[in-house]
Amino acid sequence: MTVFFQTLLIIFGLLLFGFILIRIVKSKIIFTDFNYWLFFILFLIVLAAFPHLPYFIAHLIGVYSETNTVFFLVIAMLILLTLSLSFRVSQLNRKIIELTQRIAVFDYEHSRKQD
Amino acid sequence: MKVLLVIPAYNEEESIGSLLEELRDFPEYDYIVINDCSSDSTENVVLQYTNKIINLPINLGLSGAIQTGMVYAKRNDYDVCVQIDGDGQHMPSEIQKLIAELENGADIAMGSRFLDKEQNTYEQSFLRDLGAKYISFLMRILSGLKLTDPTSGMRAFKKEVYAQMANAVNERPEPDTILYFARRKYKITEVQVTMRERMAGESYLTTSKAVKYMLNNSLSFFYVFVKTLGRKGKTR
Repeated sequence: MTVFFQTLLIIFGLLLFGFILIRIVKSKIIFTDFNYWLFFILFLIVLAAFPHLPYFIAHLIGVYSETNTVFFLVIAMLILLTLSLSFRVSQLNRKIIELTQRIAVFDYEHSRKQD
Repeated sequence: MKVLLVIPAYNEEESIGSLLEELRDFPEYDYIVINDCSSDSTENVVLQYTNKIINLPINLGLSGAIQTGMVYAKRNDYDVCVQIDGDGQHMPSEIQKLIAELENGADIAMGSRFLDKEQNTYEQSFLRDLGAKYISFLMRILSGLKLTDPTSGMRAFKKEVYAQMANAVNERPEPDTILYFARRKYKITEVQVTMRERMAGESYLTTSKAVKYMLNNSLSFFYVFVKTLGRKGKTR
């Protein structure tokens, strides 16, 4: 890994951190939802600050360069994120259906009582 | 038996009126129209006949609409829940046949257009026919249940069955749910019913969707198969 790439990773991590901090301060997001991103940023910085780690993993899994290992690990993290988002969308969808049905049925029963 | 007819309606202003008119001759059935957030005047047309209409605030699609009816049936303790289309295809005079099947011990009774070949006057397009045959085939190899009209939208459910469907995430009124209950050893029977061609309005399942429908069903059949592995009894 070149020093330039390490610096880039750290700068990117810090920018991401700043962006999330601003959103939290403005109360635009629920901060417990963003524990993943804090972990992700920490992950990027650790990879950049301790290049021995990606070097070791690269040798372990037989990847030619440690830069590729960094890419590989980041992609793995993103797949996990997409999967968990997909689960959450599915659950939220179900919740919306149930709420809609309850509202409609209660509304009907309420209007029948008034008649 | 206390029977509730669930009539899902999405933009059925042209055909729902005549169905409700027909239902006046059958005061023994309670019914509820589920207006699936129609953008036309379905609600006003229904209100001319009855005030038994549940208006969904957002469009949920056919499954969500019928499930709403089941939620309502469960809250009001109906013995039987019958789903019939709001487009006038299903005739109220045929419902008695389904109820009779349930009284004879069936858990789910389905109205079939093709059970009795001599009485069958209904024609369907090649692609729809192929889709139905394919689903029948899968149903038979996965559960042993023989169905002549698996996509029929005219079904009657006993409370034990519809109460499960009312709360379930995946048990929707589609062939995969029939497979689910068949594999759980519920008794499912078919009766010959006469159906009309659609009078007006838009069908939920158009021919162009048939291929997608077959693919989706193959996948959902697979999920149901995995879900019911090792669960043969009626207990949940």
